[in-house]
Amino acid sequence: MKKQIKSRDLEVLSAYLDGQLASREQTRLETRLKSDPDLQSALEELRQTRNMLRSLPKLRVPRNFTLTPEMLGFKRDTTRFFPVLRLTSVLAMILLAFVFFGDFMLQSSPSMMPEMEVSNDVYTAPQLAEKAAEIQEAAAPYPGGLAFEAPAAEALTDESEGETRAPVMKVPEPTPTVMATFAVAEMPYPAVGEAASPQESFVENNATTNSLLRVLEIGLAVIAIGAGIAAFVLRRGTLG
Amino acid sequence: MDESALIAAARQGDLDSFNHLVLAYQELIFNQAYRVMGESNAADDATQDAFIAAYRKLNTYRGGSFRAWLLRIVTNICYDELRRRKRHPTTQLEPLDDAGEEIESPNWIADPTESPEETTERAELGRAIQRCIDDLPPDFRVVVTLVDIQGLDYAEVAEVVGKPLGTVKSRLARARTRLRRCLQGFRELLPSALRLDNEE
Repeated sequence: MKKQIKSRDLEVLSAYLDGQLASREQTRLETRLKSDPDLQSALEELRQTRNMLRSLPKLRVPRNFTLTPEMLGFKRDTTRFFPVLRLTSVLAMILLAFVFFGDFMLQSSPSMMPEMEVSNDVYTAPQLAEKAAEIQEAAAPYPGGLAFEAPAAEALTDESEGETRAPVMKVPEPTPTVMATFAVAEMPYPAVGEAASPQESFVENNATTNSLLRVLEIGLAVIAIGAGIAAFVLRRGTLG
Repeated sequence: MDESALIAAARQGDLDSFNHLVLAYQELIFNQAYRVMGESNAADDATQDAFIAAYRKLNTYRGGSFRAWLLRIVTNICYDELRRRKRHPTTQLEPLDDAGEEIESPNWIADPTESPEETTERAELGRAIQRCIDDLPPDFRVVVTLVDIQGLDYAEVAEVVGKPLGTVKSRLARARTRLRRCLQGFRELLPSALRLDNEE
């Protein structure tokens, strides 16, 4: 009668069959096998069972198990858009950074032309020439440009006190001619004809550029954010 | 493209690359699902679900044996289905023959050297072995099919089932012992060389 093989021995025999025993344990088992026919028989039964299982045929697959976008729960071909959307978002952000930088440089550079008050008077060329002649006539007797009479120095002495007061120079009120001289001298660049002044053109151009930059910045920001969100949603939909 | 390149591309959302992997592994996964579930329809569902889950979880694959990673997914799906069936037993829908026996018609890979009779005998033996496998507890079933049918080594099986090597060895030994006893009931089907004549 065959003796019952212990479950521990069966485990060792099974591992021995698959070459999974450590060398010391293997040597010990082989020694036992030489003297234990029941152990040999149990090993042989395990071997036959394993061989039977190994002889089972492989099954042919009944169909292909390849995946379609519909199986994964998103619209056909949308997976192909993910790299495009990601690239679009990145490029838009890079361009936006460049535009921001350019805008910053533009805003922080000094004005090319000084601000000037624009005269409301419009002068034609002949009127300008007349004005220039007047200025020259008015300035001719006054090398320094300022008209005044040097009053006679009067020694104003206070005989009673015996002191001599320094002579007082009276500066007369400026003559109308002098006032006109100063007015002309302070006259800013007159507008000639109907042509716009250089600074008007400059300001207009500056405003147009700023508007363009704003539109570009907003547009690029919308593209970057929109493409990024779309790529994120697509990725979430793909991976579940 | 090699396997690691396909996996990397699939991770980026390239479905075509993943489908190349499906074609490479579908026979392995389907056979494992069939041996654990015991029937074609359930194996079909488990295989498809396994590949869908694998695609969705590709970012969790951390390298190592991709085969073991896929087998782990299909094994867990099979476990879930077996637990569900245990909670809600259903009637088998396999067709019956004249004797009232269920007819299973798995599509065996034909051996061109066999005669039709040999093919039939092999099919009957296969059904008998499968019946004995079906009688095993799921844990034993998974381990013995992975080692003796799929040819994985103990370490890879431990990775698939998520258990220590000692547990794998123990389950395998007990599964083989139970199968041996079960197969004694089909002695007439066994090839003579495999008949266990020394059983008393």
